Order: sequence, then C-alpha cells, then structure tokens
Amino acid sequence: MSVTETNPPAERGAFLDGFLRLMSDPMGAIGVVLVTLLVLSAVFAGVLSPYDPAAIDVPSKLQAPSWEHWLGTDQLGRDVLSRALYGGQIALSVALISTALAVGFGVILGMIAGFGPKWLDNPIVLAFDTVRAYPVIILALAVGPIFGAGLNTVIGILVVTSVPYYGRIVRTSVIAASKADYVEALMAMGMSRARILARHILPNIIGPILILASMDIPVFIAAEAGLSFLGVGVKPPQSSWGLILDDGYKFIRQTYWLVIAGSVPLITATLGFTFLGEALRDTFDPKLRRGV
Amino acid sequence: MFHSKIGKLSKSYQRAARTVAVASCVWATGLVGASAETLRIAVPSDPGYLDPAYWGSTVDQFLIDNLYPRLAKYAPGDEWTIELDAAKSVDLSDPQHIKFELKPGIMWTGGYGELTAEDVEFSLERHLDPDLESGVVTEFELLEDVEVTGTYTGIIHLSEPSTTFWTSTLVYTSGAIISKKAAEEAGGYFEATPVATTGPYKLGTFEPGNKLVLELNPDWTGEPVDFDQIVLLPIGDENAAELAFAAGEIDYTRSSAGNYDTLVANPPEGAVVKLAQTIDPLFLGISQTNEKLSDIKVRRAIQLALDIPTVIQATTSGYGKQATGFVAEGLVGHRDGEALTRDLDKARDLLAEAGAEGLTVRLDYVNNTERDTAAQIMQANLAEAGITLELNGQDEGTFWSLDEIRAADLQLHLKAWTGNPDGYYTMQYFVEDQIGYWNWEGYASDDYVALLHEARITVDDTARGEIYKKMQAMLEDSGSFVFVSQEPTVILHRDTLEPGILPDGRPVFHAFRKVK
Repeated sequence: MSVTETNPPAERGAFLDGFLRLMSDPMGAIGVVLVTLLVLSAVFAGVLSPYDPAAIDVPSKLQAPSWEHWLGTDQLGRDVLSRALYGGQIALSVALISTALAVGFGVILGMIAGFGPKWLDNPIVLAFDTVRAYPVIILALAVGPIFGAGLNTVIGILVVTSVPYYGRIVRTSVIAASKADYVEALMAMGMSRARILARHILPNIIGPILILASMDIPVFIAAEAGLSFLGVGVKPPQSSWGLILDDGYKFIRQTYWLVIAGSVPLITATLGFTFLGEALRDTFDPKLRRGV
Repeated sequence: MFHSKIGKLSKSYQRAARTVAVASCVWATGLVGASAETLRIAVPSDPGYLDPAYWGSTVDQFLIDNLYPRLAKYAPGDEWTIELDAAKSVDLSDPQHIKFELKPGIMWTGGYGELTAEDVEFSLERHLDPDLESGVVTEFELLEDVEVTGTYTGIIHLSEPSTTFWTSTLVYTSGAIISKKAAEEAGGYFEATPVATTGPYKLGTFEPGNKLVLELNPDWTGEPVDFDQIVLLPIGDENAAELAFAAGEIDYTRSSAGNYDTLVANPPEGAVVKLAQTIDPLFLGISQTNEKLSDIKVRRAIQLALDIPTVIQATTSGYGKQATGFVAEGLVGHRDGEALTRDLDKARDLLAEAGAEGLTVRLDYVNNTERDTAAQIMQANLAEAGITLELNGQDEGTFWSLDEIRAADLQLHLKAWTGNPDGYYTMQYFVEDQIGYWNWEGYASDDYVALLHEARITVDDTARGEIYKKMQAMLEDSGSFVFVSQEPTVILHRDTLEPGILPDGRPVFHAFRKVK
C-alpha cells in the first residue's frame, strides 16, 4: 500500500526527467519527431491516403508527381503516396511484432540458459549459434518458397534469426546477475529460481534489452523492405516500401519517382528509430549518461 | 516448344540433376570477354535440355534451332517462310510420303562423320520409342517410319496424309536431326551436353547462371558468319535486360512492349528499337481437374470477371491486342472478333449459382515484370467478383516443373507458349494423354479429338482453318482457357549490327550481321 502511494510521483518525475533529457539531445529530438510522424502517418493511413492503395487505374500509370498524385503513380496507375502510407503500416507492424516476439522468446530462452538447469544451457546456446550461423537473406530465400511469401513468413524469419541475439545477451546478463549477493541471499532464503528470475533478475536486466530492441526496429524495417524487394515478403495487393522500391527498380528507365517514394520513408524510418534508440541508450544507460 | 519443359517426367528429373553436374564440370573453362567479334545476347534463362526429345525452354529452342540441322526450317525475315536447311530437296507432293535428299558434306562436330539419311531416320523414329519418354511424342503420332533409300535420300512415311506434320514438326524444333552415332554412344539421349552438332557455331563454355558461349565450328564449310563467338547471358527479367543493354553489357535483347514508348523517346545510346509481333500465345489456364474449379460455372465466372483489355494495356502500353485463340492474326485458323468481354454481374451470378462465393484460388506465373503486372490486375478483377486470388510468382524452372503433386494442385496458371505458324502445333496438346504433362487445364473432349484428327489430315488451308476455329471455340467454352494475347515484343539491338531474327523476334544466330 505504502509503495503504491509513494512511488508514482517519483516514477512520473523520472519519466518526465528522462523525456526532457531525451529532447534536449538534438539527435533524440529528431528521432522523437521522425518516429512520431511515422507512427501517426501509419496509424492514420486510412484517413491520410487520398486513394485506395490497391485501386488500379492503368491509363494513369507511371505518372510524375502532380496535384492529383503527390508522389506520382506506379505501373498500374496506383497512387504511390497512398501505397507509401499503407506501406508504413506494414513496416511498423512487422518491426514491432518481430521485435516483441524476438525479445520475448530471447528473454525466456536466455533466462533458462543462464539460470535454469545446467544441462539445458549448452543445447540452448548451441541452438542459438546454429541459427546465427545462417545469414538472414540466405535463410529467407531458402525458407520463403517453402512457407510461401507473406507477412507471417517475414515475421517468422526475423524472429527466428533475432531470438539468438537477444537470448545470448540475456543469458550473459542473467549469469552476471545471478552471482550478486542479493540473489545468493534470496536463494539461501529458499525463494524459487523462477520467482527470483521474474521478480529480481528480470527487472534489473530488461532496461538495456529494451533499448537494444528499440535500436533493432530500423533493422527490422529495412529487412522487411529487403525481403519484400526479393519477393519473400509482403505480397500484392498489400503495399510495402520494399515492393515500391522493387517496382521502382523495374521501371527506373521510365520514372525515378518510385525509387524516391520507396526510399524516403525507408530512410526516414531508419534514421528516426536509430536516432531515438541511440538517444535512449545515452539517456537511460547510467554508464553513458552525461555528467555521471 | 513452350517457354519451358523442365521436369516433365520422373526420368527427366534425374537427367536434370546429371545435366547440372556434368555441365558445371565439362563447360566451366573460364571467362570469355566481349570483343568486336563477340555478339552478346540476353536470354531468359540457362538452357535445360538440348536433346530435341526433351526441349522446353525458350533457350533450349534457340540453341536446338541453331545447333542442329533440320530438313528445312523457318527463315529469318519479316514473313513466315520455309527454306531448305540440311535437305537439298524435299518432295511434298504426296503429303503421306515425304521424300527428301540431303546436302552432301554436312559434317558433325566431334568427329562423328557426315550427316546421312540414317541420322534422319534415327532422329525421327526415336521419338516413338516408349523407353525414350520423348516429351514431344505427340508431334510424331502420325509417323510410321523413315525409309532410308540411299546415303542421302529417304522417305518419311506417315499413317495418313498430313500438312501439319511438315509445318508443325519437321521444320520446327522437334524435327531437329541429331547424330545417330553420337546419341547411341551417349546412351540414346543427352541433356545440355550434346556431343555432335552442325552449323557455323558449336557449344563452347557454359557457366550456369552466368553465360553460355558459342564459338566458331572449325569444320563448318557453309556460308561464313560475321561473329566469332556468341555469348548468351541469362537475364530473366526483360526490364533488367534493358538496363544491361543501356549499360553496354549486351548487344541484342527482347524487351517488354510496355517499354516501347520510353525506348523510342529515350533510346539507349547506339540502340535500334523495333516492335515485333510474336505469335506466342499468352493465356490463362484454369485447371478443371482441381476440385475448386471442377464446376464449369466457376470457370466461366473467372473468365467473365477478367478485364483482359486492361491487362494488355498495362503490359504492352496498348501495342498488344486481345487474343481470340491460340492462332495469331493473319494465320490460318485465326478467329475474328470473338474475344471474351467482361461481364462482372454475370460472373457474380455464376459464382452464386455454383455456391462458390468467397472462393480463394491461386495463380501461378513466371515472376517477371510483365507477368507480375498482369497477375496483379487479374487479382483486382477477381476481387471485384468476390474471388480472392493468391499470387504465386515463380522462377521459370519452378513454374514449368510438374510432378504428380503439383499437377494435382494446379489451379490458375498464366503462361506463354512458343507459337508456331500452324495452330495445330499448340492445339494438339489439349488431349487426355497430355493431362499431367502439358494439358494443365485438364481438358478432355472426344469431339475435340475428332476435330484434331480431321485438322491434321486436312490439306486445304481454308478448310483446316475452319476446324481450328471450332477447336478454339471449344477450348474457350470449356471455361478452362482465357486467351490473353499474342505478345508483342520490343527488339533492342546495337546499331552496329543487323539482327537475324524470325518474324516473331526469335534469334537466328548465324544470320546476325555486322553493319559495314
């Protein structure tokens, strides 16, 4: 009771303090603005899009930007701006879902490897290393035709190839934390290993993991675009920045606008999330915090 | 014949595996750079089978047509004409017994001696051998035997008089003559490594996925050629080939008719741009053997829901024309003014009658720019009728591979076959025996077979043309065929050369000339 009564003002203060420090960093401010714009444009794509992104209008194909079509049209006469906005939905969905699942599975497996039964450690680490040995693109090209192209395949590939990364980090952190005096004391008091993990170790290691995850979001966005470009990712009539880029490459001699329309949001998202992630790390990592 | 014929028979799979291994080892002998005497041509893929019994892909056809002799062949130029090739003379006065005399002195490479009538006998009769499992056996149904009457002379005996055997088989790719001695030494067949060819060029190096080089045949004593070597570069997408041409990496390619306006307005430096009309039928097949599509109402609904003129406008910028059948305009048997028209309301009604609302079907197609564009429009068209179309773009090899599992799972398939000036050639494949092989639509009709039989023994062009029209109408009425177009294509070549091409743009390598 007393905890819930006394802590919230302190948490709000810490959050506000952190946010202000984030915004005082130019890189952080740019990251916040870009990411906010991207998220808003994706969330409100249905409202902002002037056309149905799948509406075909062949007589209007490959048009340059105009008042009717701000980013021009593609080879089927579809409005590129609308497709780019809906592509943002796909990109963010893939990135957030993949990140959440990769972190989730990575944390669980990493904690089991680091603090679970000893006999489980080696097989899990071996599995991590085996999966990490495969380059993502090669794995995608091998797996894609088996499971079929699509959002689920993309997410599956990204999660499978990212879990070992998080799992390895979590395992190392858990092993380090498990040697702390307070953990040994809790174990001596008879607290179960699962409870110690959930209540005491996880809260201590999750912060840096989440910051790492935020820095991986642009990687996932670019990966989704890359896999769609290669034909393993999103399938028509859905839109994706990678598909727009693919069309742009195919029709580069007719128009360069498709390449620009596919590239700009991709670059913006990558920069925005990278700036934000790095600023978050600088702000909340005590070792890197300026003045500490 | 078709744009690919890989994986037709189980035996063929084993051959394919061996082909890749052998080809990699035997031909991988190093790079051959471009020079003033080198002609670089973009082709859609690597070759698969260079045995005339198993050929399938466009590149197989290019190579078989250019490396093996036939009695006669279609000549390069703007009109479909036939010229003698290995034959000095051919007597077609009796369409059931075709007499021929070979030119003396045509030598096989590899020291396999001179081309003789025995080679002709072997090359044609082998297709009838069930052990060979010839993929084009259908084309040889009328062949009884080849009688060798001399070193260079013989008579081809047919079971019935036929004009189509000459136009569709003997002068076409499957009519290629191979060296009996070389084939027998190789075990009766070969894949991508024929040991004996004739003509001005012979196979040089082959790097799968990279290039295939044809070099001068030192034993060739016929008309000289202008280029010392020909390099075939596999570039699957025509737009990518166009970029390679613009970058100076190739000298001749075909490109999409949809790019014609851009190419004319802004041609790559030193380029000549031409528009050619092929006779290759592009069509959507609808497999009636699939449970989802077994009801003719469903198939008719799909036919009526499609907006083919829009597909053609998008893929050819209006330079194509909606097809009315397998026979191109101007050829015997072309159907005038009978193209399918869209009727969305009727399509919805048919689906409702069939109880197939909410149908989801899959469309397989070769994943290049043109096909992908067409597939996306078809997807949007069918969505308006309430049908979900899942797009399944595949590379050429995968698309044309057909084993029992895939044959049973075929649904919709957008494909182009290599055309022949005689429509019989294409239409002979839609018979029951070909289900699971080339008849992906699963079409089977006794009436159709009767017409097919009547067509092949009908010598009079007008009468045969009328039969072809009926056959095409039957195919369309089955709901299993949507004729899209006979694809136009853009020819892109350097202004320093004059390409030797058939009327539909297929290259005849020895006929390429340097511009003096």
